[in-house]
Amino acid sequence: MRILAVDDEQIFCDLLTTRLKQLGHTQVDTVLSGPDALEIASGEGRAVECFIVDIQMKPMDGIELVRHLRAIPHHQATPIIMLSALTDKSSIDAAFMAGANDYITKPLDMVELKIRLEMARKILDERAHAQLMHEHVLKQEAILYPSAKFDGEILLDEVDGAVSMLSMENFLLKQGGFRLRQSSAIGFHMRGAESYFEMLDPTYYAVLIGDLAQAISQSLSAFPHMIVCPGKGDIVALLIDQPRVDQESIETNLQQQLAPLRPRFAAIDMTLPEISMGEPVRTGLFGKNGPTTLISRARRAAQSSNGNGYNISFRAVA
Amino acid sequence: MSGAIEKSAAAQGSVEQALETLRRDFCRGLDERIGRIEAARVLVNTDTQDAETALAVISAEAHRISGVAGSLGLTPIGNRARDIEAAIERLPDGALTPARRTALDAQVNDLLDLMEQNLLDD
Repeated sequence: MRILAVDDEQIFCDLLTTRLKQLGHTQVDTVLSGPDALEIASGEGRAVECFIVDIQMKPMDGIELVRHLRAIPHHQATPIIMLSALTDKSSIDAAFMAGANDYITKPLDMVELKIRLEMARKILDERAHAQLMHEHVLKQEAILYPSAKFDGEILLDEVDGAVSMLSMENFLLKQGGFRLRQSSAIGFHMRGAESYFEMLDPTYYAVLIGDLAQAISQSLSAFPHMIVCPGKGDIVALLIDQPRVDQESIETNLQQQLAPLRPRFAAIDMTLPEISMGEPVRTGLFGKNGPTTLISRARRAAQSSNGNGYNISFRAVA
Repeated sequence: MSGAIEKSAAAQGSVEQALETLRRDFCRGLDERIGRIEAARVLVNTDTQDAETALAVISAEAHRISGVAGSLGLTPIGNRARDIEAAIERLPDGALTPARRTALDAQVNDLLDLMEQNLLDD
């Protein structure tokens, strides 16, 4: 795995290189600044497969660097691990929202470093698999891709706050119990998603889900949030440090965001899908449930029928 | 089997050697860091106009020291530096009262003492 580490402290770069070598990673480059990292990342030399980025740097801090890296087409899904001090909690949130996948705290711990790099390898493998699928779809000229799964995760491009399931689970796992209880998850479900999946080819279906996710993300723009599409027409938003949310205002915002999509669907003789929004869910005071459970609960809340708990569904108004 | 063990021990020895070299490099460079912190400390204690900028210098320096020193096994220096960074982070905006200034100065002084004890000559 070709790694590019970015830290403005030369000794730390040398130390990291030594430690990575100890773990068997010999293809490691280091640079002392964000602009230097961008020059390598956007160049046509050896492709970087994993970035390790210090959060606190000048003049360009790690969060800004992540945003720039994600804007480079071939690094939209490259694993990015942040380096941070324990005092950087708010910066870590911002880094995840900018597109980072994981973080390691300083001082460097070998066990933690090893685990985080294994996670990066997993993301890299998933990316390679997704790339293969994408190439296959292109070759088939968007003909129905036989192995695309309706219940598989859809990775979103160009949606604010979009992350992979792995990243969201990872983020939740790293939150302490108290902080975890301060966040809430809201599930959204596209009614009749399976019919749309059968009617469209997977590429168009993914575009449709992406449009809906973008509308949802924009309706939540007042809150720091992450968003995933775990499959089966579900979209889950995680509202960070928002134990209470004004559901009515989210609904109103979503109505407004969905409205412009209506004519776009009409143009291709389709009806805009009905979206149901579930009740926000949180981890209870004595809850020991993991992040996957929180996401699953949000999905179930959105999928449940009107007669079963809080659930609201709406279409874009004309 | 014994060949593999020897190889692994040699690799481990080489890592330890590399870490020791880095530790020594870090300790050799401590005088420059001490100079930067001392200069900022003087401003914090005497010039209220520049105190905020000087605090930011101390915080940034402490941040860098805590990350490197802790990772190189110089834990006491790393911990003191981390505590100073956290203390500055917790300060309300524009509220460097005499009591807070004195408390912070004592922390900075402790860190400087530790750094001086670890200084190495070129």
